[in-house]
Amino acid sequence: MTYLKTSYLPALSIASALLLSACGGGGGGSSTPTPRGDTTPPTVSFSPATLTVQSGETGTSTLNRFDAGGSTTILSVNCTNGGSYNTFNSRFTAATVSQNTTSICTANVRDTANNTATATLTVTMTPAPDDTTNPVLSFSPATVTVQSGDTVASTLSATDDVGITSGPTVTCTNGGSFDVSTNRFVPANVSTNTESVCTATASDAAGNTGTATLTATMTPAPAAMDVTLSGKLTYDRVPFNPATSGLNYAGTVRLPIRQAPVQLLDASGTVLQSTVSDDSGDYSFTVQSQQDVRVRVRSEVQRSGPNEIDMKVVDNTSSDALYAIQGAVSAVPNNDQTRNLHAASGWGGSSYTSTRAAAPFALLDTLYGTLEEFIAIDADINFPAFNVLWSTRNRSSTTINVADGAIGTSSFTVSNGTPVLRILGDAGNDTDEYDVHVVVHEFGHYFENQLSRSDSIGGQHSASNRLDARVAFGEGWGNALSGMILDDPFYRDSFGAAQASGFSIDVENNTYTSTGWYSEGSVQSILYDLFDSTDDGADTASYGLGPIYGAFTDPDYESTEAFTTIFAFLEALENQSGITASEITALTAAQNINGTTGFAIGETNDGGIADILPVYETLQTNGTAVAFCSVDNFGFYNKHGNRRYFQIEIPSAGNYEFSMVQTTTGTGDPDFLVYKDGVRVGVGGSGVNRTETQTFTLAAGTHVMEAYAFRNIETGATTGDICYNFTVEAQ
Amino acid sequence: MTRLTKLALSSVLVCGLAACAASADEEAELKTMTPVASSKTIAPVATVKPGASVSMTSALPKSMTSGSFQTVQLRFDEAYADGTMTVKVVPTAGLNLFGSTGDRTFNMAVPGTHVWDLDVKADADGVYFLNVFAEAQGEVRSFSVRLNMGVTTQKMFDNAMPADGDLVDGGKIRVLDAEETIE
Repeated sequence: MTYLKTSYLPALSIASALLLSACGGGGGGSSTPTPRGDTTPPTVSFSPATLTVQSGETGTSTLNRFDAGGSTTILSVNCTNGGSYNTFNSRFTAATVSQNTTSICTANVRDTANNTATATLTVTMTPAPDDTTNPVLSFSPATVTVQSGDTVASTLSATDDVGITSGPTVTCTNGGSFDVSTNRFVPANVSTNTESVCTATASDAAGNTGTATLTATMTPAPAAMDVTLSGKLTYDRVPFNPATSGLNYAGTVRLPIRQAPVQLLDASGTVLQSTVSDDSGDYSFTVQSQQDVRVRVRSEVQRSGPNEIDMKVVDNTSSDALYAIQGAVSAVPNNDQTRNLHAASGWGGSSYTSTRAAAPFALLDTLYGTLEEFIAIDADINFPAFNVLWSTRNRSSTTINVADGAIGTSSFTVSNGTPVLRILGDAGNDTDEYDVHVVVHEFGHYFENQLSRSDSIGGQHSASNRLDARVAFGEGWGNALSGMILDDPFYRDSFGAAQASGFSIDVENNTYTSTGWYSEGSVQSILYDLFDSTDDGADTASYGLGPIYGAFTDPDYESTEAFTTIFAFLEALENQSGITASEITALTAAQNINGTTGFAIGETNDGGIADILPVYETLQTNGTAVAFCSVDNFGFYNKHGNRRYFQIEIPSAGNYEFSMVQTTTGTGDPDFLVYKDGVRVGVGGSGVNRTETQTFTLAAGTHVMEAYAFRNIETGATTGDICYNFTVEAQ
Repeated sequence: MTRLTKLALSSVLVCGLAACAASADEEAELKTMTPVASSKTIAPVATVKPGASVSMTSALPKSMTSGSFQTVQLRFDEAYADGTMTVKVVPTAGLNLFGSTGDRTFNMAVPGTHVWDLDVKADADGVYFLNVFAEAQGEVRSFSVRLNMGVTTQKMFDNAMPADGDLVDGGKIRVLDAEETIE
């Protein structure tokens, strides 16, 4: 260095400072006064200057700094070959190495005059010592005894100071196996006590291996034994919301599946045993253990006498397959076992989201409860076989295709000789499996058809309609019966989205637009008042179901010469013991019904059709013409006035010509049907315009006849008031 | 005459009138539960559940296609002298109503058949249904009208109207899932 150079230093420093300043700062030098003339670098050293450090470990070496002119700044400490030096704690951390590796760390230090110096630390990094520690495994307990067919628990634990990288796996001698996921030993089937040693093995990354053993003594299973397999069967019953008459799924309750056949099947489906659930839904089998079986419950009630019952709930859309629920195939243990089965509604909160298993059993239970009510009255009653046709496909349709689910609506009919209740199951439109009144109503028709007699012609009807008297009686009976059996006078029927809508009919109501012998409302009012113990209006009768049942099954009623109307029923009812005629008269008078005997002698209520009386017009067999009209005042097919009733006394067996001739203008198709004691013995239905003539061979005695204009009973036809002359003449 | 004898005789007579048509009660329209002018078939009587005394028929286009408007005519015959009949139509999923709100009232004092023309449209071929609810004097009658849109298959019907459970034992049993608890 020369003076010349020294003399220029201040100027250079100033220039340098300005330059750094202009560049936005130059580090510490811009704010610390620079001692003039300090050209001595600081003294720097590591102490100790060499270290040996194991992989991943640290070693201490202090970085000493001194500068005569003031303080120093560590600019950096950089290490070659890995590792790092921390200036704050003066510790070197070794990298992970697999062999001895030297790393040189160089510290760069600067004093306040920007003089710099360096120091080096030489570190020998050594590999970590080898992992020689084995994993530790154990079973707890380490010895077990277990019977063939059972399993036993033993907890397997495996630990390692570094970590398990493989296993544990378990192998067993002499059979049996250990399930690591469940910590259970599963024995082999042995015939004598057999010891099996299970060895668990696990290893770490260094290849160290640990083992543990479980000594299992396997004992023979006892011979299969008789055990009790029992359980409870239930189904979901969805009640009504009384405010809407829709279904209230939130109020669903579990009820027992009563009197249903219960089968025990093996895995192949062979029926091993059968029994019947009791009134609590309980069933029980005595069965040999160690078999794979399932439990199946059939939706039917089969009972031999007394009180024969043959009632099935079947799927009409699958060739009348019988509905059933069943559990899974599983082994019967060597001890008693309970298997409970529940048929759920399938309701998911806003719609059906799973199988509607409860539906067939709800239908079965409603009907079984109804049968019980009749059995309570008649200990000898037998119920002819009948089927309940239900499917999720059963929908309200305008055409009938039962196999496709198009059933029209819930109804009763006889199909191929078998009485059937067809029940709707179309969710979102109309379902009736939980509409108990609908089910009992249709059973009422079954009862009439199979255990009594019904001349009803069916068809659409409502309580406010004026109906054919046979329809009015049959439908009023069905409605009243639902109130009697269910102890609830409000007939309810749900429908629509989520089955949340509905309507109700109060069979205790006594007031209708038009009361009379043609009113379903009047019939149900009378019948329910005869039954119930609540006196209202003209009702002072409280007979229960007994006398009503007695009238229906009275041979005189079953073979009545008249049609089955309220008149024929009341005539039979008055023959029952314990009946007070004045109580009946009070009820019928309140409903504007005043005819007597099955032929409604003296009836004065014409129901709005002036020439409808007498209820049965008398026809002589001498050719005397009787004029009458078929009218459409209240609708068609089965409404009041569509069909006219006649009573004909056939004096002696022989041939009689029946002739019906239209007297009013226009086209018309007269038809008539002749009956004796409820059996159709003659049909005039040729389709000839304006006239119908038929000759029948008839027995002596009273006959009845219905005559009508065909166009007044056909859906979609142009109806009208059409009049005729009717003659009957012996041939 | 015993009751069984009476029933048998009655059946013979009905069978004779119906020409022993085995499927008469399965395929016949509701109206043919009564004698028909041409054949005078007397099908078995079916007593139906209580409800509004309303019957309905529908008239559909001979061939219905998806993707375009189709007109469905609903015809209602009721047995009331006066009052209002309210009809609600709810299409099943995938079927839409056009030009109509799905609700309509009819004056039952007006004689004759009440007619409602509905325009419906489905975007895809399939089997759809119109759920129809007719209310009169506090009682309701439900109906379901099947609409085959485009080329339809049994599978489409199955999708629209699924059956629960599985047939087993050669189709004699329809097994429904049970909830089982084993203790």
